[in-house]
Amino acid sequence: MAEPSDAAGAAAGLATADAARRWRRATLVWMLVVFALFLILTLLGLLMRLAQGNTLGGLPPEVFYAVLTLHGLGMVGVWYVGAMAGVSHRLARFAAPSLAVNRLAFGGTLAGVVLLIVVTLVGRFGTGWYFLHPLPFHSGGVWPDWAVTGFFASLGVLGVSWTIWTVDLLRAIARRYSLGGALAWHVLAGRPGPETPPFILVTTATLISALAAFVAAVVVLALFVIEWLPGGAPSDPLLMKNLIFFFGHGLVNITMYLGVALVYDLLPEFTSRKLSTNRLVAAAWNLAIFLVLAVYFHHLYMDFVQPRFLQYLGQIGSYLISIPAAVISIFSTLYLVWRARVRWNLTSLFLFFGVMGWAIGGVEAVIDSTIAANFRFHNTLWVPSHFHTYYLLGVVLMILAFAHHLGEESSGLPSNGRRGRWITGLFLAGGYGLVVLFALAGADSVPRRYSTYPEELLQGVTYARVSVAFIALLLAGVLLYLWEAGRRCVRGLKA
Amino acid sequence: MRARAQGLTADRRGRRRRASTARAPGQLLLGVALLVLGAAAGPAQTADSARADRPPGGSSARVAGAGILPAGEPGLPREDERLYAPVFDAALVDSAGAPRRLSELWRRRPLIVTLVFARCTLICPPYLRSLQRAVGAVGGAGEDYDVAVVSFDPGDTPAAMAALAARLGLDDEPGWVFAAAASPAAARELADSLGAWVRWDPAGLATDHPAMLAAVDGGRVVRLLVGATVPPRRLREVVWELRHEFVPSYPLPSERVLFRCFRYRPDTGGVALDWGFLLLLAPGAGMLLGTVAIFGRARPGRG
Amino acid sequence: MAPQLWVFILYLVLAAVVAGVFLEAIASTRRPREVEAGAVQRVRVRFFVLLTVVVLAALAITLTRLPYTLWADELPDRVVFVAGKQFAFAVAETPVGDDAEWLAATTGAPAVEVPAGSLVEFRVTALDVNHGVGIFDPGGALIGQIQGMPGYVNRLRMRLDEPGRYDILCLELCGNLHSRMRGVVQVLAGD
Repeated sequence: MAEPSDAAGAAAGLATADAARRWRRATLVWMLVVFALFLILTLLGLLMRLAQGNTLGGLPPEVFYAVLTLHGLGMVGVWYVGAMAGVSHRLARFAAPSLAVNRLAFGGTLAGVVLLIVVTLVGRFGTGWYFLHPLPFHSGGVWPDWAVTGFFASLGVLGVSWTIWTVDLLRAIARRYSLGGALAWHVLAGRPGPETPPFILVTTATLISALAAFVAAVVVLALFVIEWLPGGAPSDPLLMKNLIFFFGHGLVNITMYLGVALVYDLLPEFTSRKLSTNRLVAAAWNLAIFLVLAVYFHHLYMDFVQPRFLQYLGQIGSYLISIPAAVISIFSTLYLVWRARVRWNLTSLFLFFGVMGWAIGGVEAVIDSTIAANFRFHNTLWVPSHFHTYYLLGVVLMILAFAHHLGEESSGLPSNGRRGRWITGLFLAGGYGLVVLFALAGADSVPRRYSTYPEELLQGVTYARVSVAFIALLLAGVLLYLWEAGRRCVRGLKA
Repeated sequence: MRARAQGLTADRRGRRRRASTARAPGQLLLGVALLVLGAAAGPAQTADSARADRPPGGSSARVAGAGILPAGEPGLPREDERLYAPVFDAALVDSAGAPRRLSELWRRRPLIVTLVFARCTLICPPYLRSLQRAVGAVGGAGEDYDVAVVSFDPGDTPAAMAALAARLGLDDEPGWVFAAAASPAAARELADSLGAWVRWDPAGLATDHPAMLAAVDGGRVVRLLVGATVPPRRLREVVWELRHEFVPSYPLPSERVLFRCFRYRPDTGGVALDWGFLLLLAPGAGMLLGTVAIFGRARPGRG
Repeated sequence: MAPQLWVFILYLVLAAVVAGVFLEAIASTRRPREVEAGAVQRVRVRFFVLLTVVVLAALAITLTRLPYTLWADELPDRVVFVAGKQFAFAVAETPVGDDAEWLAATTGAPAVEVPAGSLVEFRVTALDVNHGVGIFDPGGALIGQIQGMPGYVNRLRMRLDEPGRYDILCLELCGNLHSRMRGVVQVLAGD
């Protein structure tokens, strides 16, 4: 088995200063696009909460649901590509991912996003981000045929670009490491072998799971299109539901893990401690590849028609997967920091608190993946509380940390400690206020995805109004962050 | 609003397709691109129209199954009208001449009750034979449930019921009880509570009544099967219900559907995997194949 | 207090514990010190054992309380058929299987009434897209839910103890008037 020496690794993706510059530029452009979309989509989120609080005089429901769909699918997409771009950039130090594919993914993402914006804001396509079958075909007189076609086209373009990108990253890893090497099987077996950086282990395991999610996306999209075409046949709603949630859950799960890969790679640069791939780490991440496939059933608990053993599998899988996450990754993060000499700046604070968000979001996730609890929490605002914690206060912080770090490095402008702490404080105060309110509203029986709250659910209006105050705090933090990091990224582009 | 005026909103009802002339070119492209996939999916199509599953709870008007008359025809007992309704605790006289009450029977074990006439020459004999065969096929009589064949003819004597049992070879069979109603009033009340009726001719003979059985659990109707014959798989569903094997869900008969995960199999009592399940396994399989393909081709070390 | 609010408090407590640990970790960086690898490993192992025990115990406790077999051993007093369709729930005591029956049940039909304390079996389906049947008690608390999927009938048994109006609201996004979908079951006091 050939051994990837460090020197060869260094020669891998960034063989020349020129190559390094091109990679840096490509990634900086990605980050700037992520910033722009993040801001726009956050404002759409604010718009929704304002509408639900009856503060604006209410939005027409078609508009609300179009905005909801754009916000949801947009954010899922933005953070997926943000994570992929960050991971690609870091990977270029170890292996040689293709810059051409990176650019293809960029173009495909932009095209898909533009299509998505058009079908939602113009076409009023409003199925919510997971486009549950057969809702796209039952618009109730709201969205036209072309919006449905455009939506599938958008998904197709995004799916194809992202699948190619995923395969390319795996290919790049495969040229430097064997499968066993990348997944640290020799460490598991206790045999000597080349060192597998944790970043490689996590990225490889995650991208392998991503393949499953994308296959599911291809299948479900094909079935949708077959039904959509003239003379096509309908699909079984239960099968479609399974496939959609398999894909959707998979996509957001791998986004989170890619963020965690960034933490594994970047945080040690700020502390006096290092992480290595030992047996526990290897075991946890190899197990994760398969566990990820089994947990998606927790989205179907309230479909009593699902075979009972799959429901059990969903809860057991969802519970068990919390153990490696907590004992390995979250614990390791605390180990990196505990009584260590740490350079705290915006980057390291965001990485660290991102992991905290993962842990707290995980608590909510385990609660909701308890079937007995899900019976009263499913599709209430508890669910947005959970995934906003995972995203906004979890993987988003991890990716924004990377982006800030990249901007700082490429611009040469050192980070501002005081502003970094302010930004962190605003994000945390605003973000946790938002998600705790969501959770309380969910516990108070307020359903999710309601464009307006009826008189039986007036507490929903109150929660929406109060949450706007926290969104304001969050927005202040977002704007400050965009100023800090955006400025550095732009300067880095010019350098 | 524009879209609505143009009549191009995307509304689907089942399989009804709107002939829209203004399809986007993108759709054609997608169609072409997916021909291969469609061809690959071809052999896996399943035709659902032949399914004669009868969902408990009475959407039976839309199902035609062998031996089960569609409910909702005038005069036939409707299960949904009798569901969980209490059964009249009729006073009976069994074939040995002993007085019994129907409640004694249902307290001992869940009960399948059928109302017949011993003197009937038209529908009852073949019906009872069909019931006998079905019970034999399903099994469990005398253990999980009993079968009570009750006459609602005031002219039927215990001896007549005993003779009926003997003709069917069921006089010593465990789990089978043959009895006559103790009085015309008891007969009538029992029939009413099960949704059954009788038409009499002036000579006092029955001219018409439905062929049916009722599954009785705890004194209440949990299922009705109406029809000239008793298919074993229908009876099997009834017996599960009596065994409290709670079926939390069941699929409705539907139009042709491309792939299902599984089919509900009333004759075996479980779910059989269908082609759709393969599609669910495809992502995991794709993941493994893709990984092997990517890592298999590459030779690590070459920069 | 509704059980959900207790769960919320549990979440707050656990979240506070997690946050406390993380904040303490940050504070500890002011007093840096070398930590011995073996000690770290021991803490990790103890954490692993503790967490595994808690997870397995929680699994054992919660997997016995499934909504699928609520009151499976008793016979329901009533069967209520619910069919969701854009944008109303037909709630009736006879099956609602097609558009005509749905229309009849949602326009002008009287509300289903059951005596307080009844064990009701809901048989739920949908006629077009997925709808979520959320059952809210007279106090406005969500007491249970089940999905209505086109082509399938789901069964849920619930005991409705409190007299009053039980609203059925939609819990699965089904189109633009999703938040206006309604159904109702009236529970009558006394017997």
